[in-house]
Amino acid sequence: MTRLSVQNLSVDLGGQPTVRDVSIDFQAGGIVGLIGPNGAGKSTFLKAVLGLVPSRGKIVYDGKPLPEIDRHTLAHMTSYLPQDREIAWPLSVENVVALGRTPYLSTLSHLGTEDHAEIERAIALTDIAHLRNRTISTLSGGERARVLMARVLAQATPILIADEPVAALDPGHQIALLETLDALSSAGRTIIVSLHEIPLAARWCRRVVLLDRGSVVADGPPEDVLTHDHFAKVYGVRIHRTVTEDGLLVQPVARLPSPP
Amino acid sequence: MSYRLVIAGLALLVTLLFTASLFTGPAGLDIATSFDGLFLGSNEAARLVMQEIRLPRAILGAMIGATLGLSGAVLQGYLRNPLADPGVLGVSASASLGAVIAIYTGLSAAFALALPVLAMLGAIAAVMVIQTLAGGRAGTLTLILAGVAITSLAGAMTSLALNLSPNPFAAMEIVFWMLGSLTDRSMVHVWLSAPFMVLGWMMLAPLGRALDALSLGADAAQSMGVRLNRTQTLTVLGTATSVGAATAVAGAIGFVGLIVPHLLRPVVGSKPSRLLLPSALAGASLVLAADIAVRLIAPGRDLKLGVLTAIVGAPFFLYLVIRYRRMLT
Repeated sequence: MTRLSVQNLSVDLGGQPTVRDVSIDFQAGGIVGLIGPNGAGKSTFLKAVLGLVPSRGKIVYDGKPLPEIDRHTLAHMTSYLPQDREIAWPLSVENVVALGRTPYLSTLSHLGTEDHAEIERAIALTDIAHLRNRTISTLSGGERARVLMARVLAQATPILIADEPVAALDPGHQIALLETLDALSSAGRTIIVSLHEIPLAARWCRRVVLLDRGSVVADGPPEDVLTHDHFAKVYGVRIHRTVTEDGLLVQPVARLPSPP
Repeated sequence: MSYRLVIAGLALLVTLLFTASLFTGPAGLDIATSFDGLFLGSNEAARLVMQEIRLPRAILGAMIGATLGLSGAVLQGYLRNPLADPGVLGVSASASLGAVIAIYTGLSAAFALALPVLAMLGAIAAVMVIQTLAGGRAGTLTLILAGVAITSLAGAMTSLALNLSPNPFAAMEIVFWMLGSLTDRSMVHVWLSAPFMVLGWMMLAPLGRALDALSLGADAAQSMGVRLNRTQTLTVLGTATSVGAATAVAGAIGFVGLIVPHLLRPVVGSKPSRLLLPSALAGASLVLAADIAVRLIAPGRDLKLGVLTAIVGAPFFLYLVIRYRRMLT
């Protein structure tokens, strides 16, 4: 079932075309990875999908166009981890994770049993239980990133959009997080992430979308997208590519000489 | 300390200071006479002092303090800036300008209500300009810049009024009014300003959850269902209505809105929603206490409330700057 359909999406930022005529349908089942060089338009695309930047084209959630969905309803359908890991106040880890329940609370209501259950589940999935009473400003970059991911997981939405969720994480926590997202997608959630970690994209994404200068260059299973040709053309790098018993292994190794 | 205990303690403090404010003044009434004057009114002089002078002063002190504390907490939360205060939007400055115009033109001498009414109009004008400049999708930076621009403009116009003031007495009156005070305010001032302050509180009080979500940035907050436009509109209108009304009757009382949230963060934590009610109560306590202090420190000299809060507040501001510098380096 198509949860989220993006048709002919274009975004201009400061007069510059940042996303150009992108059409992608997202289904449940398997992590969808958005890759591409810096400035390819990955973050802008994700923001546009959430209606956070003005765009042209059509964005449809569960058959309903985005402009007809109010913010509150949308917050029950999608959660979002921004690339910007800003936290304005020295809040406790538990408080930050609990913010994920905001869409389910009215002005005066308090966290209920279900809210607490989702918060605990998110804390366990991101391995931050030992940090729960710490102040966020005392954590390392990777720990903060996990706390913010827990906040997104606590929102418990059918669609989860994360902008570089594994950046700043150590290899153990990178794999743990991708395992979590993979399990969630198998359980019927739609998971869309942007990432620069090509080996992880090869191993964990069921579908990879390669963006360059705002346009889709390739869209398909990692075997079809993470090819020598695409890396040469988009990144200007040479890759090692082998298929092992753990699946596809792709590692960029050297810059190619720029064309004359 | 439990949150409810803090609230209860602060509420008790407001009650005590409110009562103390009623019993403080140059008339030298004893407690029995004061009670008589307040509730029975068998002694006409005591009734006049208590009901017409001290009661409105105490009510205004509490309400203005609550306004400054609450709006300070909301603005710091909304702008995600610990140095924000109700003056940041330029509402205080433009309300002051309205009052100055009333004094300068002699309108306030002709009928007393002209001053608070023109001050309210000044505040409303500021809001309209801010909403035009910063409305819609504009961010917090635009809001701050708009506030700076309005403050500068209102300050320039106030200077012009002082510069061209028809006589030294008018200039004196303008300066004294701008210092901020609760002396000689009547129940008319209460009736004039209280509805607007309450209206402002009603707009600011429900913003807690949105402010909490905004701790993670505007994009994250929107993805959690926060309507940014609505939050900004309520913040701006709520602050302008309540602070505009407060300034209209008491002049500019600085630093209360800045300091109060900082005093409370170590007690109730940094979560913006948990700061709102305590900030309102602590703001009321602070202004009531300061207004008692000006009467005790220099009886008969009319020490201005705004002067005292600035003398205490400015060093505290310096301390904040030093603390944040330490955190950054």
